[in-house]
Amino acid sequence: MADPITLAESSGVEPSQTRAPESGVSDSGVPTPPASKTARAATRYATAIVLFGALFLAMGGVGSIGVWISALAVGLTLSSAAIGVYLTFRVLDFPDLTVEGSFALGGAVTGLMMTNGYSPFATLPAAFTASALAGLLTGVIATRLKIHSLLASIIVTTGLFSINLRILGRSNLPLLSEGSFLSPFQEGFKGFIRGALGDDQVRYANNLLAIIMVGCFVVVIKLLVDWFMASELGTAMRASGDSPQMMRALGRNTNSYIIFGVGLANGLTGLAGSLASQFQGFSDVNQGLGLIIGGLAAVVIGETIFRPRTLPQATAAVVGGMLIYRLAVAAALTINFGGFRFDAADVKFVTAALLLITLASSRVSRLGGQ
Amino acid sequence: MIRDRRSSRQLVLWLALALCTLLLAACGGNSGEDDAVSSDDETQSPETESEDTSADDDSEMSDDEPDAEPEGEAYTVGLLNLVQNPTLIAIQDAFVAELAAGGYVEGENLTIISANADGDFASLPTLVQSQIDEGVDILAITTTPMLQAALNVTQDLDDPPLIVFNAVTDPYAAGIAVAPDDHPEWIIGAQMFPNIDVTVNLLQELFPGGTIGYLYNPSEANSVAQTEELEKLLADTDLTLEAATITDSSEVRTAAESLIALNPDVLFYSQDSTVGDGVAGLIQVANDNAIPLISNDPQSVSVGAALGIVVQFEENGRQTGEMAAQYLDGSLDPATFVIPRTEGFFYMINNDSIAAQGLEVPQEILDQAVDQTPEG
Amino acid sequence: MILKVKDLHQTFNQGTINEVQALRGVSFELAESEFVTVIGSNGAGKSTFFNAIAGAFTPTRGSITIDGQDVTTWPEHRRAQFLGRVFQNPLQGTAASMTIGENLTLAMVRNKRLGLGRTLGARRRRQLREYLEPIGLGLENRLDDRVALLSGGQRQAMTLVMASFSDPKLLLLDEHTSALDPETARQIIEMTDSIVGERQLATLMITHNMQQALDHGTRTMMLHKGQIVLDIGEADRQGMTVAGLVAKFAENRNEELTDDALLLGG
Repeated sequence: MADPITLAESSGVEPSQTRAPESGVSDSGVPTPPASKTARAATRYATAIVLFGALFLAMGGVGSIGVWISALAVGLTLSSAAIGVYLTFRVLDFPDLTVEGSFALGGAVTGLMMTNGYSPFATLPAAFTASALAGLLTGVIATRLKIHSLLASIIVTTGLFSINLRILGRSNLPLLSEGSFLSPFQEGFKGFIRGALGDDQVRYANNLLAIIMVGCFVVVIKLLVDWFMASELGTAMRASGDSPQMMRALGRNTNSYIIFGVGLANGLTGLAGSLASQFQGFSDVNQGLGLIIGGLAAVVIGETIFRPRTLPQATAAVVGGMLIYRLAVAAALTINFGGFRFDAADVKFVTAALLLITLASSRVSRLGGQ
Repeated sequence: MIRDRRSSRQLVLWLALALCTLLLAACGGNSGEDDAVSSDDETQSPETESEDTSADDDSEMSDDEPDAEPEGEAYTVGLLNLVQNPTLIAIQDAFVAELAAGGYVEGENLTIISANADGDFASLPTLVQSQIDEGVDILAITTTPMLQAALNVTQDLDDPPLIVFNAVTDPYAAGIAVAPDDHPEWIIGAQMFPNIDVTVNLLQELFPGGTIGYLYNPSEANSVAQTEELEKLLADTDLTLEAATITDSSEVRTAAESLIALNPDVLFYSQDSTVGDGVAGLIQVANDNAIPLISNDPQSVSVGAALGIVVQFEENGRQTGEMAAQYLDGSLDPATFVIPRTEGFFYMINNDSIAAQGLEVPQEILDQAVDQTPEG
Repeated sequence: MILKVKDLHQTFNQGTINEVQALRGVSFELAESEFVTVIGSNGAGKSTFFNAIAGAFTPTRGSITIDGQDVTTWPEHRRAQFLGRVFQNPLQGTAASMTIGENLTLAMVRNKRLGLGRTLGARRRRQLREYLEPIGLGLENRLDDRVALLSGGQRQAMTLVMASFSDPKLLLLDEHTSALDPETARQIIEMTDSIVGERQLATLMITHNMQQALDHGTRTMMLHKGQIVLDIGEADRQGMTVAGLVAKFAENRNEELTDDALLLGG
């Protein structure tokens, strides 16, 4: 037998762990000089620096830390939705618009429970469950009835609008008087800030507390998701999205895994909806509108800037992407160059421009590398 | 293949069953309104707990009258509302009460049909049309978007029912009428424009030479009109106006934070419904930064604004009820009717917020204000 | 008999303008450890035949029995317990975004219930190493590398390993070398022979290359226009050439084989 095919050599971009990297020739005969890799990385980080630089410049015209702290807090409450969107769009290859409905559903369930005296913390598992059910429904409609995922998810999200309305009882329900997950710790934390940083900084206390609490929560959620994705079930779920034909050939019912995955992703979105409603002080049936744009922006920005290679890196990347996105939106709203201000209506344009720049720069860097 | 079809059908049935169950569960979970506690002052607070004229209930009754009724005619009035909130409900209640005082009592010679769009703008024309189809004599319209939809639906009709509007901030900016005496023949009502003049005087008194952080949604015609009025009146003062715009209730908090950066002495918004939906964010920012929040929105004070300068909204409802009663009497000619503006305002205060936000309220105002401070 | 196909008919888009009778009465039996190569021109029905066996659809008529079980109405994933498949597209048999180890583990646990345990714990790595070392591809050293880094040939080799992992009752190879360059194709075919030979797996291999069909396996079957036109067993295949095959075809069918790719060994 002549020189047997081995997998010790790879034509890929990154060198294998068993051999020293060299500019080998791949099966297809295209040389891959290592220098281009550095060029690519450099372009990527340059993009990141430009983006951050723009933010800093904007900050120069603002001078209020409160805006940034608030943006971080909001970004963190939306982070689990970003992970959910990543799960459906990238991992499961199942474009899913249910998230707009399940985000509002999480908020609606939270509103209903809190006005009936339940603890803010109890609303979280309830919101997760309700939204997960919505996701499961979408999954079932899409896979069993063989309807395209976009259509199935639109159907469910539309139906959810009415359901959310019934749950809340009105289109907008104020929740300030019910408290939130911050309530038990607010006074104590304010005192801490007063002592540690001074009276003037107490104004940031609530937002800082939110950042700490929600930040810890997001970390826990992220780790749970990572752990699950590394488990046997999670691996099968990832494979069902990546290569359904392979999974069927291995005897697995891919439909079940997809359904479960869509349920999980929407459950995560429901959590975000609950946190958002509690933090912003009201629950609105329309609060999911535009979430898909934010989620996709987070995914795109996170992937482009952080270039994750493993799933744990990816979940961290999309959280980072959401934070960057919210900071950019805050920057747009607060830019004040000698009287020129962005209108709220312009924010959507800014979002689109940001996404375009991010995507274009990633294409450019790839071209530059080759 | 056959097996797949059968199991698909089974699945559809199960899905339908699941959906029905979900709907039933959601209906059962309808929480109703039980936010702040109602206060027991002379003027009714907007946060009443009961809502027996709950707008999403179809309270249609049969047309047979008891023979004892001297008046021969029976009338039908349609109540149309955009969203559910205590202020609007109070206005509609006042409308119905005034109709009753004028001799038109529900169940005797009056049938009332209610509908509420619950914020779904797409369904407004349908709701209007369905009430017209039921043969209403009067359409009692609450809020501007509902009024615009009603105008659209009725303008090509030969014999449209009378439209009486309330809780409309500015029917002229909304394109309904040109002037109080120049309006479509079948549309009358009472304008509920906020008392910006009183507000500006108060702001001047409380914060001389100060900066006002102001929020509004420029895509609401009402808000643009209010903002213009505000700017006009502020020109004669030494107050500075810093405005931030929003398009969605979720942007309120961020916009408020951006205003903080400009060092305002007071935060203010008028009768903008988008800001109103997201007022919780504004309140949190006001509390965190110890900056007073003042508004013209009746809903805001009980939730956390410190001080409200609010139109006598119940009077607005009562005025329109009177118009409806007079029309049914035959003593009101809509074509020549001049649209009034509801005069009269009152103050609302929230003592908790006054303390948290650091507002110094003049004693005369404290004495006459309606206390909206939540209990407990 | 590992595989019994009885009077298989398959019509696509029945009753419409696009109606196609892909299989028109195919009856076929495969014994244990038989290695059959399947040839035929384009549109002969080879892939349809495989897809029918694999369960991508329920045939219009006929029955399929694998290892004594009538699987005619079974969905694809249920039949998979008997089958190992390698596809024509090298990218289809492995999940690109996941690691080599994860892919192989999924193959390893193919008939077991999945739990929440770690996919690649120490024990499993040892099991994989034991299994992979004899194959001699070096996979056991690269368990944490992403499959996306592999070339088409390497991925096809991996798919072959995964498909044969638990010694399936029937191995279906659907033109699994036709998308590879000649050298890699040759290596994959050799690997196929070696695996199939060592483990005596019942194998059906579609190939577009008549020479390859004759050089490998123990029996050759030719499909033409949805029917079996030639079925040449071991004895008859000795010394058979492509020309001979063509002649035999003309003899059976009274028509000429005109598929260039088939004749020239595409």
